[in-house]
Amino acid sequence: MSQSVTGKVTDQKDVPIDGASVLIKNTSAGVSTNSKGEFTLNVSKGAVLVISSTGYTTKQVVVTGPVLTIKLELGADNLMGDVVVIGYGTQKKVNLTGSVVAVDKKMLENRPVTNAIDALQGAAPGLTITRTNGQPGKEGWNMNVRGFSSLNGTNSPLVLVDGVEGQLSNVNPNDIESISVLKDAAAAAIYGAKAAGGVVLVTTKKGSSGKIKIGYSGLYTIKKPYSMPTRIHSWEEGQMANLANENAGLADAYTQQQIGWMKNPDSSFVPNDPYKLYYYYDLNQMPILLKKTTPSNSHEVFAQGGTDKTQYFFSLGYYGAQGIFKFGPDNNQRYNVRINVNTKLSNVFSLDSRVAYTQNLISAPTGAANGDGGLFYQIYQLRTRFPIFLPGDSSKYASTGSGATLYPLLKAGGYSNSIEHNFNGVFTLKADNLVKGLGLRLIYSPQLDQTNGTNFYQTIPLWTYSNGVPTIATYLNNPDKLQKTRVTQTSSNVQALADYDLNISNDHHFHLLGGFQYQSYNYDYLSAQNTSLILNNLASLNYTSNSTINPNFVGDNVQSNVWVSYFGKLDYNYREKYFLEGTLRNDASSRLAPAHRNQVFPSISAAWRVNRENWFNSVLPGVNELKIRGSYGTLGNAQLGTNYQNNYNYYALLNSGPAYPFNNSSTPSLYQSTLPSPSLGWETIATSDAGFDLTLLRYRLSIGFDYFVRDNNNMLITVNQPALLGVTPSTVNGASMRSKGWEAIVSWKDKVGNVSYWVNANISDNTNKIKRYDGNLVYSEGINTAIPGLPINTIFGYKALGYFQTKDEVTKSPIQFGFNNQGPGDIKYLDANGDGVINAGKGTKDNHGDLVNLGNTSPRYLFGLNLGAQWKGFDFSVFFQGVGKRNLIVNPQAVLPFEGTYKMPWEINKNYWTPDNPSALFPRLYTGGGTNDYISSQWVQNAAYVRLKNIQVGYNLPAKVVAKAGIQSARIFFSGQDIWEKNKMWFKYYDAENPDVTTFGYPFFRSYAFGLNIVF
Amino acid sequence: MKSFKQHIHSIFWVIAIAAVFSLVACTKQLDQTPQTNISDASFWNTPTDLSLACNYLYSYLPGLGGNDPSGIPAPYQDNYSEVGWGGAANSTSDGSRIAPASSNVWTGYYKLIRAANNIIQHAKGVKGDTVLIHKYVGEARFFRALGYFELVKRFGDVPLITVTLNLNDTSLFAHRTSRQQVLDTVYADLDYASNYCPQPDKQVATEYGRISATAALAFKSRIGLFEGTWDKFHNEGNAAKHLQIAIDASNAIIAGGKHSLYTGAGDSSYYYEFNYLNAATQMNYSYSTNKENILIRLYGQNQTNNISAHTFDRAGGTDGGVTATKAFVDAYLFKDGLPVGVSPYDSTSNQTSTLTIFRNRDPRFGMSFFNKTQTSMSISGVIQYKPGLSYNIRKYYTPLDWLPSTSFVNFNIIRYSEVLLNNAEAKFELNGSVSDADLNATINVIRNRASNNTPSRLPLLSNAFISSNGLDMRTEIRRERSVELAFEGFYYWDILRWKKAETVLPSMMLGQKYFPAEMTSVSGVQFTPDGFIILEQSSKRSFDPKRDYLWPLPTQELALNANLTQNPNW
Repeated sequence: MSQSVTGKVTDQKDVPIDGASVLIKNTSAGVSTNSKGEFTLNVSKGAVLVISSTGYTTKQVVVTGPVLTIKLELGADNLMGDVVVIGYGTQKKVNLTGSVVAVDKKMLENRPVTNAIDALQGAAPGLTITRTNGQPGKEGWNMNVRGFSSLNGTNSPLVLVDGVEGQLSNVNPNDIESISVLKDAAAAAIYGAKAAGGVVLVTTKKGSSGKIKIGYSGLYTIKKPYSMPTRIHSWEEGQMANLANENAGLADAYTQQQIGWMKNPDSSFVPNDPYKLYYYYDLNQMPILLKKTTPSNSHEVFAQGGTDKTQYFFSLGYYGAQGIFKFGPDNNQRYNVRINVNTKLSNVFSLDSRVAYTQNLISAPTGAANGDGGLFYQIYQLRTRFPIFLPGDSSKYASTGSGATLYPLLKAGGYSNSIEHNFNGVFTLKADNLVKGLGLRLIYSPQLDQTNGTNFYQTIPLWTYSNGVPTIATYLNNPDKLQKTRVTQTSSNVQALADYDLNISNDHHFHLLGGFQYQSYNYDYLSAQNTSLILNNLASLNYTSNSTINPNFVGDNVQSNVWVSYFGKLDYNYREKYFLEGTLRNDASSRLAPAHRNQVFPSISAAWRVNRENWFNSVLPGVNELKIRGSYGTLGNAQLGTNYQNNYNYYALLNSGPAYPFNNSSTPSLYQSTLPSPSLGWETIATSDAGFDLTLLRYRLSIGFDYFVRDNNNMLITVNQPALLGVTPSTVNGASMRSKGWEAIVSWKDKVGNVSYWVNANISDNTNKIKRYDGNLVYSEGINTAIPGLPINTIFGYKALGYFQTKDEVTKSPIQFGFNNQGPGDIKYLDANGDGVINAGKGTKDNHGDLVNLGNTSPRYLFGLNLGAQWKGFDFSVFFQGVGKRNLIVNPQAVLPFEGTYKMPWEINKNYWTPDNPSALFPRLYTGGGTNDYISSQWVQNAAYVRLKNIQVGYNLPAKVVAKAGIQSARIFFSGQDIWEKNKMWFKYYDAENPDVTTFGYPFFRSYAFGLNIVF
Repeated sequence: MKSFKQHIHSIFWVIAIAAVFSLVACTKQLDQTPQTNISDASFWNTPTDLSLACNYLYSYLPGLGGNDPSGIPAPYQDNYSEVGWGGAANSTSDGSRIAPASSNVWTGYYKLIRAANNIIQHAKGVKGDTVLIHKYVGEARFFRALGYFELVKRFGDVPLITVTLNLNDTSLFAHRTSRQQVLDTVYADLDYASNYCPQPDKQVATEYGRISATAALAFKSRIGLFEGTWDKFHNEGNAAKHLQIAIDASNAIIAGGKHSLYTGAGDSSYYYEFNYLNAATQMNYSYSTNKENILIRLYGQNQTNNISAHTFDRAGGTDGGVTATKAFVDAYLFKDGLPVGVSPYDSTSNQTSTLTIFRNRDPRFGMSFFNKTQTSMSISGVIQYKPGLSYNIRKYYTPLDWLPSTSFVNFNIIRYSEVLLNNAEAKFELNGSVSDADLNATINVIRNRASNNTPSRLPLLSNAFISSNGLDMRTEIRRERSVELAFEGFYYWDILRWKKAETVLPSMMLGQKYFPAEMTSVSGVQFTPDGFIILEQSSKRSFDPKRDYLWPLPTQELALNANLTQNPNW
């Protein structure tokens, strides 16, 4: 029996609360209070109302009569109760002592991202996400916490999915319940040896008791490539080629007659001209081969439910993306299945089992898409005067000698496909309160990752006319080749943990954790290849016309590593006011030399929750929470590369050298390529961290700040040795590096009337410096990684002073690199050491000639800004992300036209030096580059950028409407990813996120997505 | 029935015991061993092991393409001089070179030397057939000699390392050892190799291409001549000693009778010496089918079984990676045995066609360069060859290998011709003269092969011929060498040891005489008043005799080793 109930919501001082939410429990029905704090609602007697407002503790009230008065207490329920996943457990956010940041689940949901790593870009201060290109399934994602921790390996954080090392790219973003990033040593210490680069803790969703929830999420995305070069007409290329040749003192590349043919569409083909300059087309292949937009989409269904005893979460996800090529193999599909079940076996024992399967299919053309000579280079840089087909016969591809052959390669050149199957499970047997306060956990996690690759290079004939008759001139991919690879990676992880809680008189709280961990990893690679297949279109190794199979056609590589660790951790707090945490961990890794593989790593952290002091409220009345934290800890690092590299560096090994054709048979050879490293030991990374967390203005404003200093005191390096050694030297623990940085996070959350809104901003910075380098130093042109006193990735190059404008200026200036054909329009370099010549000197600290420090390629001031609002059923959010400072060095050898005679200019290259264009973007055209292709300040770009990473507009259909269809909630939305950015680079064909000294590759995309979420 | 508490106790015990056991077991697991790599400790037991290690050294042989450390395939090295043109200015040739930061030559040959030292050291512990062990040590010592000679040739004094170094060895920071001392080690290595490597006729057919006794001797004659003339013309060292070594080593090969010039293709034997025995099957020569080749870089086998290939016939040949300039073609004699400017057949200054210059020449002229009457390959199939700016070379050219851009034609590193030329030149430079008998045993053997024993195509050389025609014996011996060994990687190094570089290198580089009707269209090119194409003006060229006779050491090596000094004036 419903009745109309009116009520008033006030704070403790009877001030009305505007915009408080009043919900009927277990339904979606509810209202908001007006400016007088009043509300009216139809509700049956005995129902429970849930009243909440930002900054106040949520209250539940039973409807007893028609008029209610509700007083809310100050204290942010949502903040106070916020629980963060930390090492082997959870902790209330307010009680954290280490530097931990939790990523809002919102950042992961409903975004047209390729995977969960993609979604994290800019989401957490101190967490840097980069990518190298946009090729489906091969984007080259990389994660990093707080910058470089070592000169070695990938510097990626340890990713733990439900407590076990895993791959974030394989996790369905919608399956993720929470992500925590453990940044300082104290927080990461408990994970030890692999955690020196920080830890990303991913927890997947669990079941919940109560009514079953079934949901569907779908996204349809249109992607649009950007940052691509603009090509010019073939005759423009020809004219510029002539000028480039003239400047270099070479004969013209084309006669005026030939250039005339290029301009004339009717005479683009000179039949029976025996000379090579055969075709005079004007054919930009980019629009022929590349799509303007391409789709991707994702679908997911999930079911969540359970009883008090057993809860389950089940999900099935699909992600599919098409690439940019109009035809040919170019796509990525991923299927995710997850089943998470937890059951209480008895009062003591419970079992939590999480099983996931991921299938990842990547289909790509043969050959690398990126880099010099890659697929994009072909259509971006090769001459446009060549046709695709034999003139007059579009069933035959033309043999052009040096034209782009991407069209036939995509159509008929085979494919490079891979299927990855990843099975993993995390099974936890838990015993709670065996004796009071004691819990035991036994965790077993197997993982199997099987990747099957097929690289099929199919032969394609290229045709020409011989005396008027079409004739095969040559072939692509001849002989045809089929390569199959099988990579089986298995790992297992066993952990035994004991937790003991002890509270003494409600004042002293102890928590003791002890544990043991065993991790093993095995990599098993097998490759088989055959050529000269009997059928050019059957991808089978069985049929070949080869009389003998080359022994080099098969190969394997098996690598293993094992890690054994035990650890203990003691947490103590006094009245949740003073906190102290200490960790000791002993790690051993099979990757290190036997005498050096065992080491103990301690860490300690402390916090003071100042607001728990009695005097606090009187001294700082507006402040709700203030906590001051500090930590120091050490961690070992033995990640010298990926898991399947550098596992046996302390062994003296022999390598296979090139086969030599004695007696026309492939005769093997062996040699020593690298000296063993018999004293390979742990890199010791020590981090000190200090920070505070502040909450004020009725819990609406939160501020967090961290400052850290991280020292890698025992860094592994391969010391530069004189070439007299004749072999790659050993790796020794011979360098140290210090990085420093800070992170700040500010968030504001409030509700005005019916509108609730939030703003989250984060910014972080870190710098590093090499402190010690026990080896011989070499200063070289380009990016220098390890020079004492300077940060990693310092660019050394020449200082460009603009262009020589006159011959006289050339004569009066220092000789550049001994070059004797310098002319007006070439880049003039600074004679930094005043010795009258421009060169790199001896490459020593005292004499590195005219090389000067041109800045650093590491990004600085990474920021993210996320704001959003909700009004009735509508929601809106925008997310900006960017980098405040970074130097990107463009590879002059890739962007200077005619650096090789086949490298054609683009629209941007038309802005080259002439006497009438004295301050052009590019120097004078010069075949071979002259002296213009040295690394210089000319090519350093300001790669700071801000990007509209995501924008989302959504609408929740009214509950009343959807309820008729049996739907609990339904939301439609638009989500745009990477749709706008601003940077100050003058070289517009690259995105600011492009890697350094790169050549062209697969472009990045802007994504426009439409989506639907339904819960039944 | 046990109480719950007792259950817990037993569970604890089980877990505790299991934990201790698993800890021990897990800790043992930390000892992982490489599963798919050969470990150094388990190797070096048998002569077969030595052979596998020696096989690696062969990838360092100079060739037509591949990864030998000299940086560019041997024929392209003519581009370092005024006789070769690769389509663009060459910094070694035009004097614009600066000291490089790093050098593959320096790094690469010290890698070779280490690999050889490693074999020599480990051989002491190898058990088995001592003949085989000595043979492989001989191979290793040959390659060590090769490495040091290539270094000395370029850099002069270089650190002499004869053991494998470790990180803490002071020898890593060695001073440069004197050239003469390095060469003494080189000679000793070659003597060992010539003593213990098999004679070519005793080498089993399947081992064709491995180092033979004559290869070591022939290489020694090359070094002896190089160093003898270097010392003589640069006024240093001991010229006579080296020249005598060259004479003794080459005499031994000539007297041994294991080698002879290839005459299997009659008139065209010189041309086919640089080609397949059977082009259709891509079959290379063996010792039984061609005794001229003393040391070869093998390539094999074909597109289907592509073990090792090069692209020289396309990249170097028709695409013009290395071509001849006017200076080079002018070196060829006319059929009366007389040179440009002397011979009545000389038509250099009154050419009426690109063919004029081919007429009445030393037969090797036509066998070395393309002319417009010949066919060549192009991306559009077989075409009539069209002359370009300079002279495209025909050596190593194999039409069938052209289109797939993979050729398997072997490279002749040391030919018997070179041994004969070394012998004649060394005798002349040691004694100031050479007898007709010596000429007949050396240069005239070469001329007879070139002319197919027809003196009217190319007369024999004698002291009388020299004096009656007002020629100079030294010039003619050197000319014979340049012509016979054209585009085999000799000319640039020869002008260095003859100390002629400052005279010839700075000259203007000229190409063909321009005949628009016969040639590919050229535009933007300058011509001399008499119509020759100018490839590079002399103003752009230079050679500093105080600096350029020795190459610059890579500056990074100087930075890494303070005891290493740079060559003068770099």
